[in-house]
Amino acid sequence: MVFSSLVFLFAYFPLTLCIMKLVPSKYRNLALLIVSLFFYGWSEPKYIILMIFSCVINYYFGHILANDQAKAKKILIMVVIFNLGILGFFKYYDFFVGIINSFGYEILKPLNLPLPVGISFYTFQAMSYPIDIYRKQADEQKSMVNFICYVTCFPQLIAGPIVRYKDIAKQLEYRLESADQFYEGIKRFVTGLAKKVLLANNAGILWEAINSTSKDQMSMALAWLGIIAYAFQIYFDFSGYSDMAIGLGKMFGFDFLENFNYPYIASSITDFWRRWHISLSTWFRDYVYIPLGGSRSGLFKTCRNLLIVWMLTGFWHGASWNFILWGLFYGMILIFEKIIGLKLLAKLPSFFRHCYALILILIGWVLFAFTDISSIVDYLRMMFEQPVLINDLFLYYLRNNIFLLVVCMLASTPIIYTSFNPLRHNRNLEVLVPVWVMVMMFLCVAFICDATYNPFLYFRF
Amino acid sequence: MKRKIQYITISLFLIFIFSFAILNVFNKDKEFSENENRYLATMPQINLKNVFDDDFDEEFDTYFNDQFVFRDQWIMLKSFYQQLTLNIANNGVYYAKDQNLISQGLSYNSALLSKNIGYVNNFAKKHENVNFMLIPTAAAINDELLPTFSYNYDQLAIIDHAYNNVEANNIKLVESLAKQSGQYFKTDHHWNEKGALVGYEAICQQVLNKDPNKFIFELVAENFKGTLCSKAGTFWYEGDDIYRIDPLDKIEVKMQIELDGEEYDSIYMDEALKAKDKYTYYEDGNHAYVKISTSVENGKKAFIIKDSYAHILIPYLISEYEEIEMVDLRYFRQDLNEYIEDNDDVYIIYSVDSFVSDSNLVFLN
Repeated sequence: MVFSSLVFLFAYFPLTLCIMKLVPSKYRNLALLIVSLFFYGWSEPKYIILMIFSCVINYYFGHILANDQAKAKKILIMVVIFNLGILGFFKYYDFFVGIINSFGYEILKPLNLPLPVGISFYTFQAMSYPIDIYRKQADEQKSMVNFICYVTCFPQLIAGPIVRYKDIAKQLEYRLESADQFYEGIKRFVTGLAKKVLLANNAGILWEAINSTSKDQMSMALAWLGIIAYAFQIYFDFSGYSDMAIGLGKMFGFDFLENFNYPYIASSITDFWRRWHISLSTWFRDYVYIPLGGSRSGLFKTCRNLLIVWMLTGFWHGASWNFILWGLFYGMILIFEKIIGLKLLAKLPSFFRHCYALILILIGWVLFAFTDISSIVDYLRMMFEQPVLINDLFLYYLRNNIFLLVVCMLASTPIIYTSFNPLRHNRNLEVLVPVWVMVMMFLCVAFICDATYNPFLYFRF
Repeated sequence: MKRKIQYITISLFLIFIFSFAILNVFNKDKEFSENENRYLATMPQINLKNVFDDDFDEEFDTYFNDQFVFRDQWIMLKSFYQQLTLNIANNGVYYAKDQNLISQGLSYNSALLSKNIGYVNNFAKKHENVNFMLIPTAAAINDELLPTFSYNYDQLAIIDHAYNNVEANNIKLVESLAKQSGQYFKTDHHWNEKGALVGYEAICQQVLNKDPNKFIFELVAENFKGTLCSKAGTFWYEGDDIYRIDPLDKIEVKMQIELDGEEYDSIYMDEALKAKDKYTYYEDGNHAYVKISTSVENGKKAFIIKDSYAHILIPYLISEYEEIEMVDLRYFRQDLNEYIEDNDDVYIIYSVDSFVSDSNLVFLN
């Protein structure tokens, strides 16, 4: 189930809200656990067992680590092997078998298992618990219900943000549910929904249309417009989903950490990754980069660590070569920036710094968008070598999507937020909030309905 | 004050969610969507096997979406918002001037086009008296109505290309269609009675070598909101008029629908005027095979292979033929040669947009 569906908005959500607000606070974690399992089981009835299994094992790992100092290191290794083993098997097995087979050893067959939804997210969350206990950054959770509730909590279950155990431990025991929180939650949820439904989905339609255009109808401008639309799609989709998760969390009394901070206004790639999918880059920083030695053991090791981290970050996004390539692409740029790039950039006017970052980000999205290398090369060629600069088809797409593109551009910057912010305590503007919430809800439902609207031209037979 | 706004926001939000949720529970399921011309999904069965089946959630999702309250109004709101935010097209339809809707063609499959031209050409070589008519759609003829910066593939170039590569009697239409306006429905993708009259006059001139007959037009329905209106979701647009077209000299007809189907005394279906798709008034819409016998005693027969653009041309042609057989290759699976007789005037009549996208022309051979 996704948040931007009618089933979620008008069946699951109202029911869950009733349950959560009616159950006495003593049993709220249990109630949240049950509704979350239902949420997950709705689309993955079989893999629900895998998720619970992963939770229970990690819970016991945590228990042992908290009570048995002597074997801590061995247990920690088991934690890592267990979690990465599950993730590796369900997400990467076929990919590795494919590599082995491509060398001519036909020993194993690909299993073609469907990927369990959210496995990359919940595995990272679950394993952060025993690790935090090992590092003495968190206390043992005495209640298994609370722990499973933390991992499976439905707002962030399938697409993040990746919540770390130590950040939320206190809220599992006690959280404040107030009208203030609920109001903020609604604002945040509706904003996220609008980002996803009104911006991301429509930018996605534009990208799909341009991407399926035949080569002889392409122009250089159209190729750039296409990848820009893709950049908007992926950002508003993901950040919209995070906003919805954070908003829902607030409605139920949780405070999740922010996951995005206007990534497209970054002035360097280093800056971009501080603003993009923050919960993932923090996770990799804290659990991979720093344990490897971080940047404190000389230039060579720093570069090695960066490359390892970024290769893994890319690979985390999917079992395919292009994601590894995408990760390494960023790894190289970050190394360049670390050694000399940032100093050079500092000398440039800010306009050029932003151009530099945006162009690299867009090239990155080409690597991300296509799973096969030849399509990547084809698309990059259209962006840089297509002989036709501008054509009528480009003008049409630009004209038909001009409003969407301008709104996406504005919403990628803090302009809208800051222009209202100084006046936030001005009562006259706060009055707009209920209007904004209702208008967005009506429009979102209209767009969700339209997406399933399927007129069939010909006579039924 | 701030408190007040908080409570108003929370209340409005909750009322919105809960009222639609509850309305939806009590909303009676619809079987068929006229705007979409398709059956809507029904509630999937709930049993253990089904629920653990991987598709249950998707089936339920489809059901929930299809049956959601005020579905058509939501679609309308979306279309209205698109217009408000300066879009020039919605769901593949241009918002053209004066509440005209024009179907959009951004690209076509050129390989399929070449194949189809080949099929027609082979067919024309094997049979005698083959007449080939490609009808441009409103996008090519009424381009002055299109919004600025709209884009469509070049239909006229496609017609030229096809006519240059098919050795048949290729009927030229474009110039006479371009002379006046109003030959297409404003809300439907077909040409209307005026457009079809141009087609008929071209047939008289280029096939039959005679002056066209005279006809009486009788307005039989107003407010026909066609397929483009459904696609674009502009249900507030004004509809089109539907005319009954009768020759000045009265002609008796018998129409048989399907190979061993029912016979009617008219080519017009009065029932259709009450339904949504009023274009099916003409010969009851799409059928694999339709045979019309008339009281014109001239011994002439026509065999027409066509898409739905031909339907509104038939009222004119019945004044020229004693017998007309009509075949739709999307549904007709018999051997054409068994039906085409030597002296028949054979017509292949397609609109450009179905000619470049229909893969059933392979059944010509």
